[in-house]
Amino acid sequence: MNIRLVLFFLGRLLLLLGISMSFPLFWAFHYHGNDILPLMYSMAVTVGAGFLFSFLGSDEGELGRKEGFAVVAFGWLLASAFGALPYVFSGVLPTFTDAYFEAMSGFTTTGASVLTHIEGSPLGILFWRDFTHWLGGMGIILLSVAILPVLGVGGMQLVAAEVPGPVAEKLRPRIKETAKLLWIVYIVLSAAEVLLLYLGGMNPFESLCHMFGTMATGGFSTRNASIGAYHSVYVDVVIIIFMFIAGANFSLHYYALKGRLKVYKDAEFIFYAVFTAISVLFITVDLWYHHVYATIGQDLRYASFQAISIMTTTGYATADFGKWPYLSQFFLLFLMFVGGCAGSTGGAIKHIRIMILLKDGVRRLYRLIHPRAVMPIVLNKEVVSEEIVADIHSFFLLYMLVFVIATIYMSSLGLDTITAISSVAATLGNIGPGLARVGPAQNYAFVPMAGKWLLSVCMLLGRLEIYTVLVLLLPASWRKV
Amino acid sequence: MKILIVGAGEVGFNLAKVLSSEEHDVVVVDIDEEKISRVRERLDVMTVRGSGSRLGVLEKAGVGADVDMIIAVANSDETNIVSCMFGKKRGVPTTVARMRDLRYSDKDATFSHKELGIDFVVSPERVISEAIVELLALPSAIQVAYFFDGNLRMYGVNVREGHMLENMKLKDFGNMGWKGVFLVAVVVRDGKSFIPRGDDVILKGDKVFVLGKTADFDRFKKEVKSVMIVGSGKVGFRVARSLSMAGVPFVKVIDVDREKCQKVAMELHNVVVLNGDGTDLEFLIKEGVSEVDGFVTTTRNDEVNLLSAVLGKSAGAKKSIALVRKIDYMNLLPYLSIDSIVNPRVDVTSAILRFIRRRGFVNGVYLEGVDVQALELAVSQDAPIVGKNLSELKGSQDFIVGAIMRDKNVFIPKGDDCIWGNDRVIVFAPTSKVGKVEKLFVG
Repeated sequence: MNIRLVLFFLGRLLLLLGISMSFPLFWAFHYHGNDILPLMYSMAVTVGAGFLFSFLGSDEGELGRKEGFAVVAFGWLLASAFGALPYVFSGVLPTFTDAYFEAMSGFTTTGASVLTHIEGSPLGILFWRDFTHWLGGMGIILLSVAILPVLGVGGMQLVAAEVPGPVAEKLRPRIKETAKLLWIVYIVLSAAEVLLLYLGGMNPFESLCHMFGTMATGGFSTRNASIGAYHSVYVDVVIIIFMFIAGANFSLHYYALKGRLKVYKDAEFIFYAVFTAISVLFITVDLWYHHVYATIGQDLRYASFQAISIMTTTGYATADFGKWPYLSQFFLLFLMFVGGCAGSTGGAIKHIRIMILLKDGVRRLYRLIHPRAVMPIVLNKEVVSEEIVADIHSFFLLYMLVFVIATIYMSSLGLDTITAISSVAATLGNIGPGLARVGPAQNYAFVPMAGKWLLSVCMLLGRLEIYTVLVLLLPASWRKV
Repeated sequence: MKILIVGAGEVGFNLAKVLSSEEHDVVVVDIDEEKISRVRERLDVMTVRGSGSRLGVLEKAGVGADVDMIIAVANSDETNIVSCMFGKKRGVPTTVARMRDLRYSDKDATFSHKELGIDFVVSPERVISEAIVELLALPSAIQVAYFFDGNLRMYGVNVREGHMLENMKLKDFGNMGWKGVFLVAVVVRDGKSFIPRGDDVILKGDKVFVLGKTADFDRFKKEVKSVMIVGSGKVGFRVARSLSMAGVPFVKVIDVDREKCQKVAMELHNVVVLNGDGTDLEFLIKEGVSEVDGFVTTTRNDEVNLLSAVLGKSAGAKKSIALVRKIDYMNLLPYLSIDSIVNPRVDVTSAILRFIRRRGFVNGVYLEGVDVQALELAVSQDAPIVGKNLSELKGSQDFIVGAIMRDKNVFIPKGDDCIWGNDRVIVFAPTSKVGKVEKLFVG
């Protein structure tokens, strides 16, 4: 591996990150908060480290596959480490472990928090907390490919490592242009949401912060009671719509913004929409049956918000679903594994993989009766190659394996079964709140230090879809030959 | 420019590589999953999987008036024709196709290529046969290119032990007592290419590209009297035909296929056709391989061609040339006792690139395995470079001016020469700087 080249890119990434800290700094100045200095220190340290890395590194050589994986995995680890500085310097969080957890949770758009007194924290810090969501949502690496000059085909290796979805699609012949377009679509949709929230009566600061949390399917709020604090049907509906949009493939939004609405006939999108509708209906009926809310209208309102929030891996809440009937709770736990679409800002397993796994399952059953049947898996009139099907099987296996091992580990720290299971499911899937002691009304502050580190790793594994991180554990990634 | 390339084989891949590094938007179409994923992984271009002869696939690749050019280099001529026809129908201004079958590309073909919607046809067999005939005449040449309507040539030369260029300092190159002026434009050493300066020394194992007037090269030429050709396919046949038409007295063609031998024997009367195996040393010696001036292997099998060429050379042939289609095999040249390896794919790539750069662009040669390109440009009146002294040029590390043609006079410039409007020039520049150079000379 060309380590100096990796260092060079990491340096550039840190410079970008340092510069992005000027946004929360603006708000800190605006509100005359006591977080001005902490943010300035963080910015100075991050930019300094960026220059150091650039100085130690060199841009000579070609960025290959191995380097691509390394830049992305270490890029995310470093971004979280330096992104944790504002929490540390401002004293909002007591330890570096907590700060790292919070920053990782931000960048990976998880939204699992260890911050107990959200409403008492300085506003610049809260802005940074939500801004990390937004940066991580479309991808910090994708952003750097879009705006920094990248060597040759290196940009492609980086994007392939950060956005590993099963079927890659380029919007334009050049990866740089593609990255730019995706970020533009992201920004346009974000602007639309801020405007709608603002028109609904939210102040500009909170509109921005909640937009960051929604568009990135993150879930950090500026209120202790999350979106529930607003008691507004309008806000609920706007957030529901944008969570749904953020959970769908951004390539489709690109074509739609260019006027080609037909693209929504995409197989994965239809599956996603139908799946969402069924989930909402299912939970509504369960809530109605148990008379949880006064009217069926309220059942529908809270069921749809929670179901869509969990499935798109956002993690905002308007109700404490920890107090819901067990069936609904378990169904939400199941949704944590489903996630958004490929090419969205959502995490977890993703609809396209689930579709292909289901189709393959049915096909294998059918083959028991007709062993010679030739049944290619077809999506959008194109055959999915057997190699991709095998890749998805092994992704699913690794995902479940990581889930099981991490759950055993969390249980060993003394967490009850439901908490252990849901904390891992909610971090690995980048959702945020889980069930029981990590439910929407609680947070992760009580988790032992060892548990916080493991959950941070789970968040990274989930965001980078496992392979990019695990591949660096292979000695072959580090050898020259 | 937005360029659509049909076919992701060696030619398609190399074209996509060169064009995408020159900041063009490239889309590559191929039906083969393996070929297309190689392109997807290694190049920053868009890929579409599917047959280039289907309109649906081309539409997915974005065929339309905003595409500037279609380059069809798929394996099948028919696919290439059809994709060009579709392209023209959808308003693509320029179409280029590779044609293997001479029925489509020859001058007396039933359809003219214009009728098929193709603006430019490259026939690898024709291109490569011409190159082989040219190389036979100059003993140490391994590659040849023409500039200034044939008045200037560039030869690629492999510097082996004992070659007259070995250990020569470039400064001394002018005072060797040779009539005429020559210029070493590019040196390839250990897989890296560079534009040499006066203090550089040519070493054993280098591959150098020498530029000079055609007439000046003539003295190094040897008369070719006898040539033995193994393989009587399209290339072998064409080489044999042009040699015998050029008056080479002894041309022998060898092929294992009796029927093919018969066909050649019926069409070429002055050529001796032998039915036998080109890797059978005893047979080759009996037919006088040790006495021939040239030994050319042109069967459809690369490995056979390489081995047979080694055999021929070891038996005493003065110059042996092997035809290979796999580009990677060209790297074997320094390790084999063959004089030259020719590759139709390299020449086709070169011919297509030449065609693409037409704006003020006359000619260009894509040097295989070399990151430097030779460009023949027509300098426009108002180009930024006009009137400047060559020695004072900023950024001249990036390129060198190899030769100038002014009012039919060809000369190799010195530092105090300057470039005038309407000159034709040869510029050597790294691939990534081609756009910059074009701006400087053409405006």
